[in-house]
Amino acid sequence: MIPNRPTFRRIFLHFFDVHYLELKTKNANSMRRRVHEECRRATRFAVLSAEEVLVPASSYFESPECFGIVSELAELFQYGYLNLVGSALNVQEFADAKLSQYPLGSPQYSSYKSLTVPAGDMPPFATRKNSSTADICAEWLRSGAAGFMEKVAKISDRKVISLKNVENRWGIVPELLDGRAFVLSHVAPLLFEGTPAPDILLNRLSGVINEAYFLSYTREFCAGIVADLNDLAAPHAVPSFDSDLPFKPLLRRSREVGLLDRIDRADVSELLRIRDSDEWKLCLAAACGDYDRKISAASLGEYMKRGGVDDAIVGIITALPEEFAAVSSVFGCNDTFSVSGQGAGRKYAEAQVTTKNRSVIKIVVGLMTDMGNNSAAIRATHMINHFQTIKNVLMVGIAGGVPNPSSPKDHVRLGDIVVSDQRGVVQYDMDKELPTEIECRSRPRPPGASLIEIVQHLEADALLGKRPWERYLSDSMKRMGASWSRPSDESDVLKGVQHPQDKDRQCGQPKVFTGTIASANKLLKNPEKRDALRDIFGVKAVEMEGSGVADATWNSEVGYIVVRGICDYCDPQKNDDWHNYAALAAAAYSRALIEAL
Amino acid sequence: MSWPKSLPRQRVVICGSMAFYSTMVELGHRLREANIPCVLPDIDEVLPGISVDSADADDLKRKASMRHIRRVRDQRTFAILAVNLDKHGLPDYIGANTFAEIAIAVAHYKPIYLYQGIPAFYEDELLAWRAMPLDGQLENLIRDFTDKNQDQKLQWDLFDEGDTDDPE
Repeated sequence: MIPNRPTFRRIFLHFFDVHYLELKTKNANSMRRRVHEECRRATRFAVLSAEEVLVPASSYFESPECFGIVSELAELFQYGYLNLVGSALNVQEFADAKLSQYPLGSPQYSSYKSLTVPAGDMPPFATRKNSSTADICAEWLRSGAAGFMEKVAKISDRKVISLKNVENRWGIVPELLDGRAFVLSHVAPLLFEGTPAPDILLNRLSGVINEAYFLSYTREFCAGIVADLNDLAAPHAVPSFDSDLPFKPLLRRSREVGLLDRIDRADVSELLRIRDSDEWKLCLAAACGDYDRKISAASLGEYMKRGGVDDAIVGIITALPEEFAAVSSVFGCNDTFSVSGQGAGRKYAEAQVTTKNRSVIKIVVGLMTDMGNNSAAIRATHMINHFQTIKNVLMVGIAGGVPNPSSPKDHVRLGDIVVSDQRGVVQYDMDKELPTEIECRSRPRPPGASLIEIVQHLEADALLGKRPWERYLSDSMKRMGASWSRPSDESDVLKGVQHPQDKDRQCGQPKVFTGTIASANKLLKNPEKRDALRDIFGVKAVEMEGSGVADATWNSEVGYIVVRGICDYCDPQKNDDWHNYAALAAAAYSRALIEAL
Repeated sequence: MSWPKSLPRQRVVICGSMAFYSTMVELGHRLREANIPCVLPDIDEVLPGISVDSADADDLKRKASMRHIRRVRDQRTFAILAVNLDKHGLPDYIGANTFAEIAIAVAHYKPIYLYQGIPAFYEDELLAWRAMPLDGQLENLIRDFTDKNQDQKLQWDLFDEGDTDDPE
């Protein structure tokens, strides 16, 4: 039986980065041929597998390697399989912007100055929304020096390079760059104040910059990469946001069936024939299977070696991709990994948070396969079984808010944050239905006491003007771009009701409420029902996963809490305008909560 | 019988992933500049344009591995330098091939030098095997090689001064 070809929506060819290629081939002409061959094969594998292949425009213009390999596939340009991506409206604007980033006389400056390829002879140019320089700056500031310092902590050259000075200067590097390209040759002299740094420091610094650069692309385009490369393997993790194409297994499998030679020699027509052939589908499916097995074993092994399984003590569950993306952004999650086993619910992102008392808390983040309490309970149970040191699970995401216009201090609005209090979650579809009444039979599931205590402290801090979640929210909004910004207050409309004045509300910031959260396997768009839940149970938010998580954690005897950003009013007027911002708000508060553990 | 006028020169064998090859070449240059002979792995390449099946590709790789293992074991080998740059986000990466070469070196009582630090993955084994992390600096390796070879040269020189007769 011929399997369906595994789906690769978009693959970003990260390895064409100019500085990256230069590093791989300097000193070793013998490697040039190998590297060229690997680049060429990886590009062809991507074209054979993905719906769209993205090439950084800077690489196309600055790297003869990239230009040559992509130009061989010129006949593909008309089909839109292969696109350049850059932060400009068109090629000319792109080149003009680049000229201002590189010094006169540099090879890059010359490349852009002498741009001669007619527009029709190059791949289509796709405009990026984000600037990679801006993204790298944001990631640089977000991650801070801690990760870099940890990696170089053992370097004996701290006598030559003052690591304390490096830590102090880290935050001002973007400002000192003054619009120049965020590349190693510009950054290193600023960070090390002109002192020649040993190669090991420079290599690691280059890794930090490259990782942020690749993240900028893969995140914006939700793209995967060509992974498991040989000579082009990166020193650092290459973040991806979709399925990755496994190079080594594909190389082996295609060689085994005699396809590799054909792929190497193929012109575009032949490549398109191979792409649609059963042979290739089988080869690709087999290679993906090989890779999944390899990654599962390696990930869990590596994770155990790093102490991840033993140390992960907080789990976060999200129900929607935007919620997962929000958490990933706020927490700076690393690449996803899978634990071994069968079926769904094995994929996680991980992050680390340093608490106020300088201890490190490891976090795993899971994304449910579907909404609803059933899926939430399954996911939470899986997570607790996969990571047996988990002590607390947070359900983080968006929810419908329950307004209370007659009581300003209890009036929940769009963009606010609701956190479950001691009363926890009421499962309002667990009931007994009689002819004349419905009796709610939800079981009490109080959240974890230590988490409730933290929430109380955060509330006290807020009264003193300390709201750390506001900074996380603001940083993430900048990083994620315009579609994640706070919508205008004019769009916060509650039908037929004027929002009451609330002197405790900070303009442009979410207000945090603690209270009961109502949960059921239903999408509520009924304001009467919403208000009844408020009047009977004191509910402040309505969602669809909290009671599943509450039950699963109760069964496993670990703590839980629900953190929700408010995106609508559970009425027929609900729309998606506030989804992204609300997801970020919930994630930001969660980070503040975990840091206070 | 005459004592040999020249000794077989010792050398350092450089090991590591092909992804680090350009660094290995650079380190080779630096060691040679310090008058230390060194040997790099062969590039186990399948030449472009030459069609090979999996068995042949594996065979080429195996032969290249065996050649380098023989170099590690060779009596002329003073030590191995494992070039363990970061890879896949793992600091101080040592792959399976390189780890095997390290193990063989240990079994033949050759000192192990790691170009960077000790990777967490194999920390227990490498510490037990007394692998020496260089943190990106070659000075300790150069010093140790020079000291060892100076001692040997002095010993040979004792027997070499104007007397070619067999002391026996």
